[in-house]
Amino acid sequence: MLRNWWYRLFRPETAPIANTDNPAVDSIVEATTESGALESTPQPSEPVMAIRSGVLATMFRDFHLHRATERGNEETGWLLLGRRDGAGAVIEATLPPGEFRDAGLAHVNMNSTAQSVAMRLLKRTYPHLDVLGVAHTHPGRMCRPSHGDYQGDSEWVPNLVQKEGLFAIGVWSMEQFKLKDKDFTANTIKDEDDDAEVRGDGNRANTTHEEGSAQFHWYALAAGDTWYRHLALETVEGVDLAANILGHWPVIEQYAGSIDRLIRMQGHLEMNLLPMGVCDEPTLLLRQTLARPGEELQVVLQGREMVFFHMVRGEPEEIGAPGERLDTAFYEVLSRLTRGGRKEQRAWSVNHDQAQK
Amino acid sequence: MDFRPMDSEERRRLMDALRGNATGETSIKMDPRTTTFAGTGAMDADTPRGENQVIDAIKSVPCHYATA
Repeated sequence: MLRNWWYRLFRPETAPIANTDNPAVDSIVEATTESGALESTPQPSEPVMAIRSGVLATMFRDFHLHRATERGNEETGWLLLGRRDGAGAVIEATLPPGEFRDAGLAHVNMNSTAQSVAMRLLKRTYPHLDVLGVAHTHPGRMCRPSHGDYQGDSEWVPNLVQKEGLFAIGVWSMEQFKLKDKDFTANTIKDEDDDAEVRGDGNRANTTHEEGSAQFHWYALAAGDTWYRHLALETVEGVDLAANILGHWPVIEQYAGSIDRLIRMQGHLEMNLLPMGVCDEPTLLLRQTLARPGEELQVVLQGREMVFFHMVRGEPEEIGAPGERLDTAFYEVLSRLTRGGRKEQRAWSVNHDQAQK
Repeated sequence: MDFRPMDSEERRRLMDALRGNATGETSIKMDPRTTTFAGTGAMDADTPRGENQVIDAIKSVPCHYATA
């Protein structure tokens, strides 16, 4: 299956490749880019803390979907990405915690390796994106950060731009504490836990967003702060910039560990998403330029299937994956391709494929 | 071109600059005509950070606990 569509897409007669600048792949990358890729983010004249409506929609949708799963009682979370302009910030994208997250009733540790690979993909189109903070859920009505949250976040925020992080606590089933109710005040929440007092006014507009049974309560914490402060977050129009890669999340997460190691060791490894319309399933394409002019190694990843192609002046030569782990297989293929002459490489490739069969 | 070794003061300044650059606090300046070391500068807080800095921040996101 994987081989069939690859040949449909890249076979020489339909996609001549004279050099390593593969036009077919470039056009695919463009196709994966949302129409508003180059849209300019609103440039506020005054410092504004805001979140795109698309990001908020993603968070609410994910929260509702999460609650309906078998793991619905566990905590979950989101990585918040965006732009900081001086004292202002706009949350423009969010990444999910991943299926391989470590979570329970009272903790969540997101799959940061998968998130970092996804961020590398996003930064190719949106180089300005940075990490702004984290949202995560709490059990019951505990809509304020815990002391455990503070211990980790206070050590983490010095790593962020402006040394300040934006945080949200998501809670479920707060029907009896609807925002419009007069009784819903910071004091009401204070009865639910005995954490330290949050600075600022929790009753200000936009410190909380709600949809159905889900609520997100917003906070900020800067390096050196002794506790969080309430954060008023305006909602601005705009899509979630990460929405287009979420369809590819399963394959990103499947190979994230190997891809992360390869990217750190290979200076010129290129990663592309292949659009869903072209492939039957979410597919990733890795490209590594080789030392010989006009030669390139391509790796196609789809589900658990992994296929290597040695491109020589546009002619693909398929190589069976010599192992199940992407990074070790990659280096085994690379080591074969970078030694010996072309005849020797071709003989190895043929022999290896026969042995695989 | 004069390839003289650095004196101890130059070496100390360069080491300080490299350390500051590695922690993301300072930039390293170079004289474009002679390519010699020209001191350090403050990182512009509004300049997009390098990709590896952003990735390191993602990988260091702490586990969040509902209780202490």
